[in-house]
Amino acid sequence: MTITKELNGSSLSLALAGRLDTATAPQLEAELKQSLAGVTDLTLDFAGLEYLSSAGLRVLLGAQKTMGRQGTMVIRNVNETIMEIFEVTGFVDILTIQ
Amino acid sequence: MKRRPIRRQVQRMVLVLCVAALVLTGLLWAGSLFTLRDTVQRDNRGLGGSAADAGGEALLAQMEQNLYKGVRSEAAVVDEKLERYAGYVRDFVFYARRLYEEPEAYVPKEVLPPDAESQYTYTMQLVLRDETVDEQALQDEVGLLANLVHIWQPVMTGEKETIASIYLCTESGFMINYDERSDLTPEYFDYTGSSWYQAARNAGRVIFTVPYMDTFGRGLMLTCAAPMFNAAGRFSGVMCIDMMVEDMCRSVLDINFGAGSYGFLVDGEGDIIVSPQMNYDGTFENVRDPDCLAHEAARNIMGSTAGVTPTSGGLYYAYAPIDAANWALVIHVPADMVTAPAEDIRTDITARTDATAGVMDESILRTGIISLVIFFLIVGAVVAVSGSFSRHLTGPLLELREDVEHISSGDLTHQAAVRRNDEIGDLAGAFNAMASSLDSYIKDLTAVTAEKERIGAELDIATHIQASMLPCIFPPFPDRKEFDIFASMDPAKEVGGDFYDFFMVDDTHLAVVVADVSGKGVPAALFMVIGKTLIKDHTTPGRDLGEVFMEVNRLLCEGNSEEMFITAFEGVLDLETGELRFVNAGHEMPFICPAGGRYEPRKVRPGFVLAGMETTRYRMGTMTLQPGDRLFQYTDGVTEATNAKNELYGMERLEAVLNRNVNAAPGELLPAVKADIDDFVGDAPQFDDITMLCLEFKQMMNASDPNELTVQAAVENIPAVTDFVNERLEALDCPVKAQMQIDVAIDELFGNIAQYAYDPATGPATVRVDVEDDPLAVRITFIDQGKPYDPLARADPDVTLSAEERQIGGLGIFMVKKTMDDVKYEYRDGQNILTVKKRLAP
Repeated sequence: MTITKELNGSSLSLALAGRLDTATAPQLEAELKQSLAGVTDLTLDFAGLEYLSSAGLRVLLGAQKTMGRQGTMVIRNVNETIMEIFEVTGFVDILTIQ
Repeated sequence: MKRRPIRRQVQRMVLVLCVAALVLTGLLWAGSLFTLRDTVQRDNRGLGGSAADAGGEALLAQMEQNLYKGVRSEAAVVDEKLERYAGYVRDFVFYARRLYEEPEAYVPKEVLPPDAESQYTYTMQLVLRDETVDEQALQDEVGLLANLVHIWQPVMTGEKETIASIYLCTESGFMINYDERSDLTPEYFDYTGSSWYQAARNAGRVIFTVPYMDTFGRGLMLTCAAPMFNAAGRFSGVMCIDMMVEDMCRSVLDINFGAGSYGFLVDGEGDIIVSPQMNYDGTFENVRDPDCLAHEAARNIMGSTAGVTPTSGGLYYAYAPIDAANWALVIHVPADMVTAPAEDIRTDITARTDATAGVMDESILRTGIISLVIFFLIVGAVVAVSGSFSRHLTGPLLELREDVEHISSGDLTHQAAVRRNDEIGDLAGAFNAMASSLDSYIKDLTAVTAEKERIGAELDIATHIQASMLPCIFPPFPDRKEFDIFASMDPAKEVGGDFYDFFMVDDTHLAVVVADVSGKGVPAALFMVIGKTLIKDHTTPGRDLGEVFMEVNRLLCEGNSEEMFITAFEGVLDLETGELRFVNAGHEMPFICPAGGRYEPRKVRPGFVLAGMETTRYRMGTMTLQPGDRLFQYTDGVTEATNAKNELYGMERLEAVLNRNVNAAPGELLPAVKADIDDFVGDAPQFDDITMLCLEFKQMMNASDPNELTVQAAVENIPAVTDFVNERLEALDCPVKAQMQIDVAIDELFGNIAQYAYDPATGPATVRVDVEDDPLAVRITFIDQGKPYDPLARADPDVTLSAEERQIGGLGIFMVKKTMDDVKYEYRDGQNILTVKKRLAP
């Protein structure tokens, strides 16, 4: 998985490409951990993301909790497979998906 | 520190010593002089004082003596004179008695009343007591007594100077006066009331009156009187001589014992009767009056003895009695007059002493100034001489310094000019010798260094060649999934004796070799090349490794003139079965780490070293590796690494560090072990090459069943498993969405096994793919030998909770259950077996 990062003031945009699974989720988690301080608008672009597993969900949940306290988190360009996972797991109700 | 040139130091030291000596000498000398001066002055003063005192005392004694003698002789003169007059009077009285006793024998002589015409002629004048006296009745007595002129005349003639007049007065009432001043003689004169008349009659002997002013104005007079007696022996009158005091006592008045001295006469009553200072008004000063003389003197004077008495008032009184008149002669002398000469001596000596001291002071001052001038001259001379001497001493040193600077700047052929035959000359000679030695030494060194550099360069090339002979590209077989291998060799010297090797014997067999050539350096490296080549050449597919080593040993022994040998371990892994065949020629035991287990040394039978003995036999051993198992082999450079305290690294430390990194891949394990060795060794030098090799058997080559994959249960292996399954799915025309869901399921399920089944260790996991037809479905089975765990037993998570309330556990398996068509779990034969089914056709 690759993460393309773009920081504009307090707006952080992360574009993910590849698979967000058990092996790669720690990579995103580490990225968020070091970048979220002071960020009020977090945008996750899933256009290049093939799928995600529960490990990825765990990281997203953590990010959502953090951003819920300090701003907003938006997920864009979610494909069908991933949307299905969000739906199955009830994450559509938790996340802001555009 | 401030620079202090030797020249200045020498100069300063000499100067300080010189000045100190001069100042000390000067001070001692000056002190002696002043002491001498003071002593002389003091002694002189003392001498002067003593002399003055002694002189004064002597003078006083002398003076007292003189006074005593003088006063006695003067008194004797006066006494004798008075006695002479007293004798006259006594003679007159005797003659008068003769006249009274024998009137018939003398012719009566006529005596006339005083006649002024006869003045200046010695005549007898008759004076009556008063008018009542009958002149006629006294005619006989007058005529008789007038015969006295016979004796008076010679006396008067002899004593004209002193005697004013000679006369007699009778009880009968007349007076016969014999002198030359008849003009002054009255006709009547009542003498009976006169003191001398009374005194003479009362005393009955010769008396002297005190001086008195003459009634007839002749001056100061003194009368010597004596009573006359008639033939019957009855008092008949008084015989007198009037003497001019001035003439009589001339000797007393002339007494002179020095300035302020004078003599005077004292009568028996203590009255001063004759004195040059007297005022003859008829009253007399009395010596016993408190304000006249000192009491002592007065008492002694009145004591009728001769003597000299000093008084507290600074006066001397010398006195002597005058017996004739019961008087005393006193000489008054001021004491300072007596002692003046002594004081003069004292003053003179003191003055002379002071003058001497002044001269000495002046002389000392003059000498001091001269000494000071000499002192500065000497100091100047010392400064000049010591400066010149210091320059003479240090000049060659400065020259030598320039020479040495010349030499130190690189000109080793420069020679210091030796012009002195002393220590500095020796030093210059030593510098020259040093420069020559340095020059030749540097030339030698240059040659040796050049040679060494050439050898070093060649050794460098040898090192490169040796290093390039060891496989050093990792991973060496990137398309081989069955194993991972990593090896390293750190030579102790430029060219080591250790080597490792790995190569594919054929498509399914991997050979690994770790060996250690005895000795170091180029010979060991050459032998290593031979050994390595022979082992690789003779390891052929299917060949017994014991035979391989026996052949290699035989070949090495043939050309081993240097008596070198090799310890070596070779293993050949069958990638399809995991069987590891190995042979050991005197080498260390390998460490084996089963998947999920610990590294432990595996005892393998060691044969004798290679190239040791031509006939040595080697026997092959075998063991079986499971996927995930690892082999670690090394040389004794690891266990015999030594720290500064000469402790060996040892097997225990090696085993410990291996097990601390039990999950590390070979490429991470070896650097970790090397770092641990480096930590242990510290700064101690490395004695031996350190060679390590680690082989991980990751999965078996699936020659028999292509639908099953056994790998180590690790997160890193998820992509491998996913790829394996996807390959199978592609052949089935699987829809993309189903494939995605299956991939997610693999991630969840294999991920669970990797993270939890063998936690905290790891172990093998097998994935099988089975295909069902009608309807087309795929069944994927996950098998592990870890802890029994049924993921389905867990309740589904509540997916309606908010983000804050959400728990993440169980979400993965929940997703699998939702996306797969069937999920089953069973625990059988010590294995967790989880099967998921996904329909691929509608």
